[in-house]
Amino acid sequence: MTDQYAAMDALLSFSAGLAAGSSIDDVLRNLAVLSAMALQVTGAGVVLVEGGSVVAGPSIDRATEPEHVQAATQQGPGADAVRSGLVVRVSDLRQVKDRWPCFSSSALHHDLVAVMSVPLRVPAAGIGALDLYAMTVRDWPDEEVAAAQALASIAAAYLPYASELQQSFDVSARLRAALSRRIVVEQAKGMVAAHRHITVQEAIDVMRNYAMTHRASLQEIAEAIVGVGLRPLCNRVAASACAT
Amino acid sequence: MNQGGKGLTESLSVLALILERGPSIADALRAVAEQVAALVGVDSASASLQEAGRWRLYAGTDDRSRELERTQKSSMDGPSVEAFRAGMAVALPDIEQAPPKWAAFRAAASATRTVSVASVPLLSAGAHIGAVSLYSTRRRYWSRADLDAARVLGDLVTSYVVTDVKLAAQQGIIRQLRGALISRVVIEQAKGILAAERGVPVSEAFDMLRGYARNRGVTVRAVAAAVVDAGFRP
Repeated sequence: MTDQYAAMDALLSFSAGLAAGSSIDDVLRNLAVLSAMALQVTGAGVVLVEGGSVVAGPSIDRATEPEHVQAATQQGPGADAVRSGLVVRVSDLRQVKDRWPCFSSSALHHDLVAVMSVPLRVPAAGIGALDLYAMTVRDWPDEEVAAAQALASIAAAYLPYASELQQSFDVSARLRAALSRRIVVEQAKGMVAAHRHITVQEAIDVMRNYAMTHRASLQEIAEAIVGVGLRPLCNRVAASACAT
Repeated sequence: MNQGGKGLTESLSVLALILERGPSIADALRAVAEQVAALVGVDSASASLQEAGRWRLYAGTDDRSRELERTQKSSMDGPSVEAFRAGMAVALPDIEQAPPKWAAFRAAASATRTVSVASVPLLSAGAHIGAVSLYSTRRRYWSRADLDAARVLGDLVTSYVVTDVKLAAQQGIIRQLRGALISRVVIEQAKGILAAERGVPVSEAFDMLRGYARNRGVTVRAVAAAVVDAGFRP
């Protein structure tokens, strides 16, 4: 039976985590942990849709193996919940072993008898499902479904904009790395140009040739020029200078 | 969840649907006020974003809630302000019992026939960002469930607002980095040239460029371009 206060407490700490700006991974893990707490079940896991397939997200306790079996076989209650957009309730897996043979045997192997899957949906599409497991026969009454859905619906609302933010963090991290690489290359071009009395456009050719001859990347050559004073003279362009 | 877990779930889903469309912050505030009002069952509700000593934005479900927010905004006192400041819920079954310093709010409440109020803060990891307020024309003894429902829906909007702010900041950073990738090319080349010619570290080469630019009132970029393209030396 759902403890109403435990369910509300779980919901409050979950939503406070979102308000604090948690990472996607933390949100999914909290979803598993807090829904297990709210419904007082033994195992919980989140499956996600990536590139049309169901993949295993965070899971807790005994749920880990059946969650991965579900992802490997693309068959299980979570996969069904994602596809149909409907809640899947199984009170006793022993009665329906044929429905998802691999998943059921993995769950039963871990003494998980009952399972419920709640879809994580945003308007456009199913983005995953929350799977909850119990070690005894369980009917999953409507109030338990509602408690799990409350948690699932706020996670589903949060994930799209959290993922947009994550992407923009990734873009700025890549740009930052590109900029620091670029800085070294441009400084090296200037140094080579000054040293050889050539233009910076010619300097880049000198560096490229040198990198090719020495099986190194342009970046490595640039770092050696700026960092340890390498002056690329020995190359095809400057073959004559090499003799001096 | 004696609001009915189902009711809360539905409100969360509706709010999630609205936020998914990427509304303006004002529309997001109005949406949370509407969902909270419907879920808890009150006549009017509002949501506000505040900063210490000033208000950024508010939205309400109707004229009454907007009038009450406006009054609090100008007098800088009342339940929304108090919930925001203290970071704790304010529940007042009888506005007549409000502290004397809320005189302006009390007058506005009486003018709009508002009897009871409850305000819940919008909090993000300890930061206070605003409040959600519920207004009732009948005396109402606010339950923990009422306040919890407002809090959960408020958290969802808080996460939307906070993410929106972070997203805008990130986009600014991305624009700057893209610009820097172009504008820094010639400056870094000039630094390399001066460093190699004078046998100084690149940081010192930059100081030469910057010093010259400052003295002549021109940009570092212009000096750098002259160094690279025209053989100029500062």
